Amino acid sequence: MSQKDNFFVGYQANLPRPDRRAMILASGAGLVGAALAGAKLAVHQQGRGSGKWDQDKIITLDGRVEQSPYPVLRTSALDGQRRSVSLVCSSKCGVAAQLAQYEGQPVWVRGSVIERGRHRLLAVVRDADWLGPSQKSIPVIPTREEYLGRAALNGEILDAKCWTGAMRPGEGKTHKSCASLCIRMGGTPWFLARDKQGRRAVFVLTGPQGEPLRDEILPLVGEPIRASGRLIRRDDLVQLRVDPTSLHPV
Amino acid sequence: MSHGYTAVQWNGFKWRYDLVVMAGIGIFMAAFVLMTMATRAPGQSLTMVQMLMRATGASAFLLLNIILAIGPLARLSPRFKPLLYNRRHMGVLCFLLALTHAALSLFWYQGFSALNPVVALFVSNARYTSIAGFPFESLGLVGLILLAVLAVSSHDYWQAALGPTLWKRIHMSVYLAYGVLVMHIMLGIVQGEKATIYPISVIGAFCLIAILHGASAIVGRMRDKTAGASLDGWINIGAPHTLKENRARIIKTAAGDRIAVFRYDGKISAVTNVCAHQNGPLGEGRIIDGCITCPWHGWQYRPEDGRSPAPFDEKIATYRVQVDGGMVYVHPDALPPGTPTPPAIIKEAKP
Repeated sequence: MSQKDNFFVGYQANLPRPDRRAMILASGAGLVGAALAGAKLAVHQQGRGSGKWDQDKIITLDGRVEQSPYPVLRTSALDGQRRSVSLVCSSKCGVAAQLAQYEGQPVWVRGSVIERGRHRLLAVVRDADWLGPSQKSIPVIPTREEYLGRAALNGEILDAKCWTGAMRPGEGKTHKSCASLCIRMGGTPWFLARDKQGRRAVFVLTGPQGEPLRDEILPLVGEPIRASGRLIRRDDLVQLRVDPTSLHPV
Repeated sequence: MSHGYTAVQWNGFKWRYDLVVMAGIGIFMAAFVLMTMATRAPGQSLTMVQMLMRATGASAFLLLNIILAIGPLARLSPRFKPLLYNRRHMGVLCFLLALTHAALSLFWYQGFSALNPVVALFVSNARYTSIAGFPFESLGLVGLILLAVLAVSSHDYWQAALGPTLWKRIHMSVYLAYGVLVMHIMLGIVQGEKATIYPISVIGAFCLIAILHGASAIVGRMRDKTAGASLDGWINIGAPHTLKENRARIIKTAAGDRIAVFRYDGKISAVTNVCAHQNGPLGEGRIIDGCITCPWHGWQYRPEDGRSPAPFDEKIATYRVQVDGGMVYVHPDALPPGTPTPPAIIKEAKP
């Protein structure tokens, strides 16, 4: 080493003493820095809500199917209260076609519950035996509609299943393409409204007459937008009925 | 060097180097995942896939910043030069982390539909004219492809097959990859999160890399010795005793070429400052076992003819040298690589 003194060459197995000290210091600093950086980046992430989805817990619900604007099961079988449980696919697909023949009819539906707050969805596995006519006596109760007024809201279009619990997070820019793909393939679009105080509320997003929306809203899914329209309570779900051409980024 | 190729010529230093790098990645990802879970109410954390997606993406970007910082740091202080030797291992690890991040993202966000996930990636969001909606995933894909090219071609085989100039040009695309990935992050996760730490971290890292490169360029220029008075076209570089034994002085010719003038064993020789391997600064190396040794990766050349010792066959340009009137002169015209050139003999007593 006398000729090489403190000059390190890559094929040497050992570092000269000054380089060794520097590398030990750099390694220690790097490892501590890695731990601090990982922790710091982690703690500042936004909260993700309390969505839950236990895919292994399969249940069967009896109720009446309503197709429009998006598939729901009117049922009291979940917790004794009359609820509109949105019917969605376990993967990125829709269930409307399979339900069409049962419109208004009593059916049984098998799937796993996705829940977030008061919102309940039933995710069905389409390639399994998940749907059939129910033999139970299920009363026909007319759907109640109530006009709540006009609203202009800032928020984001998202996919109901992703936001409720299939994805965490199921909103925001990183989730935009996923939400867009879900809705394109038959998922249910919801509108997540946020105000300046941080309050949040979700609405079922429909066309002006309560018709379903799909391709016309895809470009704006997952982006901060402003939506103006009518709020209609339909049983226990609140719809935001908008003209899709009036939606615009903010 | 070009005599045969083995995947990695392992030694104790390389093992320790890679061990520290992988430990750092492991610690970063563990800290990220554990703190994500620990700081959220039960049931409100991210899914494990999404945590790993973020942890792998963040660690890949962190590693890329370290990779880009090592070059200028090694120019600014010789203490950082050992970090250069296994930098390509970091590059391959960076690519593997980025690949894992991309695979998880593709599987999680674009999978589970009737569409092919790769097709879904391009059709699910086409808002290329919007900043708020820009499909940042496409930028990530471009960055990943560039990192893949760099990782695959990092082996010495490709350096020899492509030639040092083309190989170096290809590997300069790491800066394009870096720029693309900065935009991928800024238009993706930074837009999606509210905390200012994310944009500050990314912009801060970008500025730090730019400052380090600027500082190393300035220091490099300051180290360039201005060519002295000429004698019939020969450049005067000063008295022999002003050159350190087994070291070099780098001079820049009027044409912009850098020449490394070495003193050793009572002789003086001059070669190009550019190593045939990765254009490393030979003048910052030293004579070891009678050979000029590059400080970056240890490639060696005989000072008298610019040729690597047998069995290697790399060659670099040499320059004519003479000592006249107690001063060393170098002719600025490069001789063809590998041209034997008699060294100038120092007649004075060593100071």
